[in-house]
Amino acid sequence: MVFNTGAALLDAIVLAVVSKEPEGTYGYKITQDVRQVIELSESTLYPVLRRLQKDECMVVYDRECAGRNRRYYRITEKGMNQLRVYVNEWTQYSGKISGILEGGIRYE
Amino acid sequence: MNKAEFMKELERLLQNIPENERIEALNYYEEYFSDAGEENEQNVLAELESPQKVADNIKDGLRANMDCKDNTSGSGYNSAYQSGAAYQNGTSYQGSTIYQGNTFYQSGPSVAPEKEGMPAWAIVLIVLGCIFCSPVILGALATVFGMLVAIFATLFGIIVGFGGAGLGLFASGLVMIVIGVIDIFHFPFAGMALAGCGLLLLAFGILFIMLTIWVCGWLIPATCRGIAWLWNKIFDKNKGR
Repeated sequence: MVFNTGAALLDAIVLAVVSKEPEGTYGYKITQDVRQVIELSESTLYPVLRRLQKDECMVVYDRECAGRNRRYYRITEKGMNQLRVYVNEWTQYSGKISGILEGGIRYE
Repeated sequence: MNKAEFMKELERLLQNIPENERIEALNYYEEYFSDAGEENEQNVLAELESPQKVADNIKDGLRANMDCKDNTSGSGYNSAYQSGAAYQNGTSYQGSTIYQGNTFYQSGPSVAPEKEGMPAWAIVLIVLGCIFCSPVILGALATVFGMLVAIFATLFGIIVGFGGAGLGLFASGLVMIVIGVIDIFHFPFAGMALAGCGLLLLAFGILFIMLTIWVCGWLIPATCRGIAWLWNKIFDKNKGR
């Protein structure tokens, strides 16, 4: 991948991945899902999850699974709002970039 | 290095962060290894590179949160994030403090809201500082206020004094001229002298009135400009640092 993924875009991707699971999802799975679309060092994700949790974009809860606790992350209403902002921004941004890269400027 | 060694080293490297943050992070990676499964342990270890790198990432994350809180961060990302939240809520977004609220092992969907704002000791320090510095601050303010009052009182005095003198001289000059002119018919020399003195007084009166007008029209605006200039100079200098 030649393009960097900025912190805001990473937040957006993580929120999108987590929002796909109404019941919530856990750290290892989030990492694997995110790694399907971008290259990501495994140690990068924890601080992002922790921050989104502190910013009340996600809540955590523990669930018993195969004899041990597993921490689940679930998106909040605030997280959904934030995700909508990101999606909106991304649509505009990526549209403009694609437009200029493909040689013709599209207007929204 | 195996998983146990990795976790032990990570715990050692995280000694200088708040306890709840350390527990949270260690649990996350403990779980992470479990979810990856024993067969993937070496892959995960390779991917994570080193405990040092993981610890650095965790600490950077905590710092970014702090920056977000006091809004002094140079990070464009945080401010972009904040404006996004502000756009949604109509309020400016504040990151939550990291040293408060332990949400670990809390089950259920709700999370205790973590406290926001300055720690109590910082507020106490600021208040104490204000109290101890108040003699100095009040003294300085009183001095500035006194100087301003003195300058304007002086100007006022000049205007009243010069203006009054000017008007008085002008009026008495006029009276003397009138009396002098009348007297010329009875005592020509005394009358002329009187009229002459009246003219002189009139001239001085006009001079003082002109001085007063000059003070009003030039000296007062100039003083105000001077004060404004001084003010700007003091505060621009402070800002310039």
